[in-house]
Amino acid sequence: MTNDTIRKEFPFLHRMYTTRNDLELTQRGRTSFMKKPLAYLDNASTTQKPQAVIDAIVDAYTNHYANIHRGVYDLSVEATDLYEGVRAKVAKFIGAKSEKEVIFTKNTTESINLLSYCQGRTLQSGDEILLTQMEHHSNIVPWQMLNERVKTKSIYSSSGTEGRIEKSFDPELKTEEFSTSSNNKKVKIKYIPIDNEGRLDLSTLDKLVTKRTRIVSITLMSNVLGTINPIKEIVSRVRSLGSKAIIIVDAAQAVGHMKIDVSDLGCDFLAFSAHKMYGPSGVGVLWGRRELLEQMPPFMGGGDMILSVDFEKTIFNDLPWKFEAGTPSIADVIAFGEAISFIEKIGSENIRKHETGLTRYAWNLLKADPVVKLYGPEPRRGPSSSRGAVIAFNVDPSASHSTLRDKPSGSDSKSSGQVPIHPHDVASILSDEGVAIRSGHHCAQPLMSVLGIDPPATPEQAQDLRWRTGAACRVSFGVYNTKEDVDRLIEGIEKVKKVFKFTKRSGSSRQSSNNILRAREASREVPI
Amino acid sequence: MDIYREEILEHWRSPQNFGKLEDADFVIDQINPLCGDQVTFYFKIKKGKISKISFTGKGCAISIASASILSEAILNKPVSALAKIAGRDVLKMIGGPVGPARLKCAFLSLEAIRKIGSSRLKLEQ
Repeated sequence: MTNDTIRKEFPFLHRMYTTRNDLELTQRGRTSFMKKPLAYLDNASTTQKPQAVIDAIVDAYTNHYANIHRGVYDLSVEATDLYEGVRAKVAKFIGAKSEKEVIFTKNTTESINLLSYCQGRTLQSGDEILLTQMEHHSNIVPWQMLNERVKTKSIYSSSGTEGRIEKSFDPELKTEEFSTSSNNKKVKIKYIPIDNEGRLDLSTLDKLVTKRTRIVSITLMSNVLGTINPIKEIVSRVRSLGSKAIIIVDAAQAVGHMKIDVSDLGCDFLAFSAHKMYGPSGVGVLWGRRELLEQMPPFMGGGDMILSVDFEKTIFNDLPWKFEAGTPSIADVIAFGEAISFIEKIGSENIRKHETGLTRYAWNLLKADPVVKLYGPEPRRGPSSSRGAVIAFNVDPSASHSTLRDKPSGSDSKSSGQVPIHPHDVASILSDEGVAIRSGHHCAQPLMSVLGIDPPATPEQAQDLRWRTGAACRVSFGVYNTKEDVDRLIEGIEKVKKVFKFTKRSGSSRQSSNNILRAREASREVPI
Repeated sequence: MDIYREEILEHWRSPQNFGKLEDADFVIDQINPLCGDQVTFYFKIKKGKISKISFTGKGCAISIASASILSEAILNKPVSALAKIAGRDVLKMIGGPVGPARLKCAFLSLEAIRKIGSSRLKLEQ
């Protein structure tokens, strides 16, 4: 499938936007201009939907809708078959041994929360959870909340000492409010640090993994840095250290962008969302090893998760329904099957190749601009590149020698030179150009702090705080993105520099466009 | 976005009343959880009027500029007047509409100073 054919399947590209540039041209007397589709570069947040997925939702509600696992009438059986068919499809898609290992949730966040409740129940005071510095809030907060639920009896045990707060890393500092009652903090959360390039520093594993490590939960791909973590290597290192910890993989960012095979990864659980892989929102997946899922107590109680109920007790249902209480998002799950078909039709390898090419193209153009500060590992050639299609950056003149135009009215030296443009301002201006990017902390505030984007504030820093954006811009690619989308991003950043009056005198603007032209020439031969 | 006029950029580059007020009577923090923008206002009150004001914080051009403009506007005004400032007044001060996505940036400071209008948060030393 060519990129053009793929783009035709996405109706969001039919909606045309009038860009600010075009409006300005109109005001200057030009009457006709090209309207453009949105350059949607926020795929790490959620992807757009192909027509087949949208049609499948309509079809499910129109022709096949009834509650599942309930009725004996044909329509209910039909809906159940379609729903369960997608479970089998998901199992095959991720290389699971059995569809009984596939549990439908609401999203990745619910999948991880489920684990923090059901696996977390077995944790005791003094146990340890190992995360990484690059986790999304959804793989940090549930574990911090778990602390509130861990059995307290051992806190007041023979040693007589209360559970202590073990501050192993800044996130602890950042959650002061949450942990006000934290003198009874019991579970220790540790974080694998990242190196300067934004990769995990695995040399720390020997020290971080201990006898008390009960859960290791790691993202397969960072939603900020784009780093793809070597899960297989981490699993084997953790195991070779003799640890029996449960190993959880957050695959939210990876799924739909690269091939995922749970039998190859070697992890115990894997969580992801349908909406980040061209499927409907409201559907998530938790895959787990059967024996572990069988040992785990249910998450929520209610209908469909029971075998029998009397007034005193309940016998829980078998896998996977034990973890699916209540009526699920039936039509969305059914349509999720179409999203998987869509990905399989293109092929995970082809998607990866396309996105790797775009990432390298964008990275090189952004890098050629002296006022753009990039985060994360440099993309390498070939499919072995351990980097996904996510690029975080800031428009920050302090990253280079370029300057802002000196203001006549007594600007101080700081304000005349080294002022980073806040990502929200960048994103607003890009939005006027029909380019959608994400700006903010990307639900990874602890990582922002490690990257030096949002360091913990001290009173002494207060004077300088205004120049800390506390956030980053992020672009992320999907199957429908093109080099033209990237070119429009680069043009948009030029517009940002114009709006914020980057000096022409210093040559930074011209110099950077020359650099960008050179980079664009250089990458012309790169096939996408 | 038309909001990025020279006046706004000037307030962003060189905000008025920026810095900490050591002898402040009241200190108010406000955070925008959406983006992590944060502002702290310092007030010195004399006879019911704001005799000194300053702020520190971090944020985008819109939030810093509106903090700066607002701080200028309320200096020497009675504390009782603060509760009466409406969102549209702030938009007028900063010179026009910002998209719905950026209203929170524009109103961060307003939310902060409104707190002193309704309840008096004494500075904790």
